[in-house]
Amino acid sequence: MRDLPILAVLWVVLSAIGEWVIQILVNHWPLIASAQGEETKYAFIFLFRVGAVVFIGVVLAIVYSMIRWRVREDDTLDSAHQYRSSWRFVVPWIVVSALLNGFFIIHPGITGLAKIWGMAVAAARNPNTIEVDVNCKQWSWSFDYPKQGIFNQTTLVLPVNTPIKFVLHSQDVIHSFWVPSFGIKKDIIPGETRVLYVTPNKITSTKDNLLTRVQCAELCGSGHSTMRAVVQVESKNDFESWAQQNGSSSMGAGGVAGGAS
Amino acid sequence: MSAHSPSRRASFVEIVWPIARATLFAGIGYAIGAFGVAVLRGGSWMDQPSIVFGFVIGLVGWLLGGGAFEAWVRPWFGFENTWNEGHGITRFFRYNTDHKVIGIQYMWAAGFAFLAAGLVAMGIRAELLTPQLDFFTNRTWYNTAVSIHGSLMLFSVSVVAIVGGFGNYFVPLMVGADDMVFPQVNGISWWFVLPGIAALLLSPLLGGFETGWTGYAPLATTDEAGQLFYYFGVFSLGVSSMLTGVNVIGTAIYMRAPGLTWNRLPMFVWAMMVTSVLNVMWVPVVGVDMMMGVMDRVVPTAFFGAKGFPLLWQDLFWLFGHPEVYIIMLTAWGLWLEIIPVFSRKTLFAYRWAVIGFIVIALLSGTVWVHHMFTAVSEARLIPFMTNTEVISIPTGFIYLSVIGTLFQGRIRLTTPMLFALFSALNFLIGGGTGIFLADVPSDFQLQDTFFVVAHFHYTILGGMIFAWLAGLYYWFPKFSGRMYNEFWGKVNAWWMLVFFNLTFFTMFISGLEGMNRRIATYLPDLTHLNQFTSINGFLFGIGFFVPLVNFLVSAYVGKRAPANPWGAKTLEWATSSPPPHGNFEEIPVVREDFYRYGDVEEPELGLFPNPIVRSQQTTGDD
Repeated sequence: MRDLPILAVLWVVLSAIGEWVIQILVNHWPLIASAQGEETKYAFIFLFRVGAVVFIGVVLAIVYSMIRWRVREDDTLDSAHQYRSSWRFVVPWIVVSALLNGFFIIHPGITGLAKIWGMAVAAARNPNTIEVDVNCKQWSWSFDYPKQGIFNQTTLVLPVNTPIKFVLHSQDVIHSFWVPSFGIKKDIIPGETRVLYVTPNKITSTKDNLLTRVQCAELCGSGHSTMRAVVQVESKNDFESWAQQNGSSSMGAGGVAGGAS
Repeated sequence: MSAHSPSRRASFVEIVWPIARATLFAGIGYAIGAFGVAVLRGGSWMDQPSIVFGFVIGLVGWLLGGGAFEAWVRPWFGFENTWNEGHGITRFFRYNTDHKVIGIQYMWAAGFAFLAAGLVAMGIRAELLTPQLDFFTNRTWYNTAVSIHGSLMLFSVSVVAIVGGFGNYFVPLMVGADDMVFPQVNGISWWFVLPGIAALLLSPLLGGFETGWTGYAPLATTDEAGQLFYYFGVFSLGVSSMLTGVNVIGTAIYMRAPGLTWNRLPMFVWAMMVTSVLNVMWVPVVGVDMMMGVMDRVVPTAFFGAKGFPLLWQDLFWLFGHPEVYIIMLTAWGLWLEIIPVFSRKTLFAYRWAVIGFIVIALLSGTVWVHHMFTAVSEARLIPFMTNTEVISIPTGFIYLSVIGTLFQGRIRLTTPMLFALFSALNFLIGGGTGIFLADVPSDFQLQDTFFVVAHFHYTILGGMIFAWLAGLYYWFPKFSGRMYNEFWGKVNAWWMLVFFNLTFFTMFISGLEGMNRRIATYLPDLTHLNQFTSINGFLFGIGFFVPLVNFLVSAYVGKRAPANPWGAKTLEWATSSPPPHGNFEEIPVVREDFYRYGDVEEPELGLFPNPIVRSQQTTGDD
């Protein structure tokens, strides 16, 4: 029986080609511009690389059989090889699928979450973390920076490499706060306050790349598709001067309002 | 004797009058309910309470007009059942208690809903040809189209076509019974399907509904009154699923022919039975959810508003909604494992592991629903539900284990049903494989609510279940029509669909990764080329459905006469004539061996674990 060695060789060759294609895709991946996004992207690519080998193996087994053991349609003889089961196939299959599952749950599942949560814990303790209150309603966004005394902004301006604490509120229905290039999203539930920590790590803006935009990701009515906002991730200095310009004239009032909120 | 050649030709009036009378009674019932409540409350007949009572009394009127008056109500009061169940083609359009007729009723209803919802999908793709709003006049209509497409496809096609259609037709035949266990219940169950489809299709009359098929509150509480038709439509379709479920379970347990032990039960019957258990367990949950939605709008209660628990809707919906995915897919898996051994001329591999797979999937299916809500729930719920979701892929793997083991060293005949079954397995592999990215919480944080998800579930439901439905239609067409379909056009159909399905939906994975979120009428210009590619291939895919439609309609009248068993299959439905007579078998068959025994493989030993390899000494084949 030469089929098994042939299948094994084909599996190795096709998997190698598959991994090569994945590497090309990874090199052209859509923009990811936050530390949390790097984690979610890493998880995706890791699963992609391992999953591709399994996927190619199963497709190969089915397609190989279709070609190798095909007979004419009026040929109704039974196969000469009849068996009900085979421990040599069943046991490895079950063991490998169970191990792979356990592995995926731990990595990148739990380890990825641990990293994202670790960043959130660190950001919560970090005095430099910038708090942005995200207020949304059907169908618009507005952003407050209580500590800087800046309110009702329609553009989301953020400094690079600084943890941001987004405090999410919805006035009416469920929305979802998503900046595609940040690689993470959080649903906003009316009547509840949700928090999302993101650390942008690249200078980018909606003008440079449309993936850097605030986009409502949960169907919220007729204006859902256009419920967007412009995002600008700037250097820390640019952000400081922007905050000075927009917040300085009302610094006192902003401080009070910030304290009250 | 074909099912389509009655002793005397049925007139058009004879065919349509039961449905026409049901529609008239439904209209009268609706008017009584809506105007009655309007007068009592001093409101309008278009108010929400009026609509609610209109629909409920209208539904009763529909059932009475459809035949329940003669067949159900009269016997309750001691009168004779005067209902005429029809003959020839008229049977398919009136209350009937023959499981084979009901199966075909379910199939045409699901086929109609499929074509209607498919047409709506063409409209959605036409809108997405350009970034601006141009095909639909406003965004509400676009959202309504998305909602109707999803609701019809999920609630009136995916869970109806195979369980209601094939389940009704073939479960009694495959267990060697003369009918379902409760024929009267079975007859009435189909009459809940058309009102469900009609309610969803007519929701634009009340302004449509914008929530998608998932109906998330509190948006659902505040949008147009068409939402009420969504709640009632889904509820009505759910009643049908539950009644069918009870019937299938009862038939599989109590109506099996002598010798048909659990060890020998065909895979399709296992699939139908496990699916039906899920239906009976979980459909009531979504029914309750729907009624709570109605109350939030009409009473009004505050279950799902900001002062209640907005996520409660999602929890209840997905508590049903994820088992529903398995309600849908188990049917497809049952068909694969039925068709593949027949066209491989080889004993089904690892029968017991496949059955264990079905049952473990069913047990786990109710423990994974939060993976639809990873971006909405508290952190404490993430890891347990990620674990459950990923673990469910192990029993799902058993089905592939069985498929590959059966194909290996078979003698494979690539007929149309076999092609569709194998293509369904290949498509579902992509659908299930991309599910891993969505089960993994970190990568789901990015992918949730994007087109990646849209592509994923179309690969499972359209690429998996609908392809399997077509496999089943081609496989059993000779049985229920008595004629052969055209093999050439069947194969054209299979390859056409494989190519254009993949071109259409694979692109959606890329759109999703490129930042295209779900359910949007307009998008940013960077996604134009991807969407145009998807739309054009989508149109070509859609046009492809005319091939089976014409093939089946033409072949039903002019196809070659089918023998009792054209495929050389061994299950019991092939042991009777094509189509089977009323009562199915001349005498109830006795089962002496299992149905997947090819060559001279030994009978399995009793016990949980499979036998070691039994190699045949005398070969019947020549390879």
